[in-house]
Amino acid sequence: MGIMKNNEDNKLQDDLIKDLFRKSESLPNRSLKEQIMLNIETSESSVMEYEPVISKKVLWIIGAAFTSLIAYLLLWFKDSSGKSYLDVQWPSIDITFSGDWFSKLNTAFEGIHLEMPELPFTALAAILAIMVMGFSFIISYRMRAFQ
Amino acid sequence: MHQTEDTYLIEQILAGNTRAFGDLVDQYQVRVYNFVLNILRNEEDAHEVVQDTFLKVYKSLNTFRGESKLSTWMLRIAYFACMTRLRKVKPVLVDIENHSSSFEGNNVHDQAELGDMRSVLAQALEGLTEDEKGIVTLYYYNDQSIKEICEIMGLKDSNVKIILHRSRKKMSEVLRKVGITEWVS
Repeated sequence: MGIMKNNEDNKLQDDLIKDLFRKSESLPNRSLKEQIMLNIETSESSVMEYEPVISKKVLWIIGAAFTSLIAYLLLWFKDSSGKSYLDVQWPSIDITFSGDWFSKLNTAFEGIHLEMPELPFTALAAILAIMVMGFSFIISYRMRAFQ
Repeated sequence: MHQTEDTYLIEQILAGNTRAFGDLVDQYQVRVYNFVLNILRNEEDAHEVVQDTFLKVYKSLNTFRGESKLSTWMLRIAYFACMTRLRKVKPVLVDIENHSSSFEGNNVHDQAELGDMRSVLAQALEGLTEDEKGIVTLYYYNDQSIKEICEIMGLKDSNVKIILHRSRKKMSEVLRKVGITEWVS
């Protein structure tokens, strides 16, 4: 009997509270929907599309120029005294299975000499320019990423 | 709203139909607004949180898997937006029971009665914590089941039942104090 009374009381309380909520329902401002739709339009139009500072085409040209310059310096360039970067005297490699492998490898590579010849000013300027462009590209990319 | 209608609206929105999202806002804005308002007890904050909620709903609708009702999913987003707001700013309570919305009629009696109701609700909610306010609103106003409330608030079934029981008791006490034992309407 007591439990039934309790359940009835709870039901009454529930109905009372439910009614209270229903009857005191507030309505939002009329402009709320407009504001929501405006926010959505703004968020859609402000989607950041990554646009690189240097186009892919220009990057390929810079890359090709840099590779050509390095290749030229390493393979064909000679300074006034006739020195080049790579002075390679290709060794004959002993591939027999006997003997000490470490000393064989040593002998094979000792013909390769890397020496620094004197670079003309134009080549230095070109390398410097490419390095500056590379750095500025990396910095501008990072700056955009943090915006 | 039927779940099939919700599904249709979601499909339309995901296909890029923004007007369908407008329909979704029409369907749910009042329920979401009242839920948020009852927790925050501040109209201005409630409007901002509802805007944030719908923006988030729009942006993450593609992640809605349909395992729960759309309303449950939206109320969960709204609840977390409320909690974020409460953590960020100290709530400034305003006299919302005397607020008259631009939607409502001009009938003086209606407005007075509405003001009384809101005043009673404000008093009844005053002694509740944010979680309690959220749970009673979800249960009594948004018609969410205990299971759905658990999903929305990330609480255990038993916890929700305890909080609901405690809140009901507190609210009933306030109603008894102001002399309301039943509605005359």
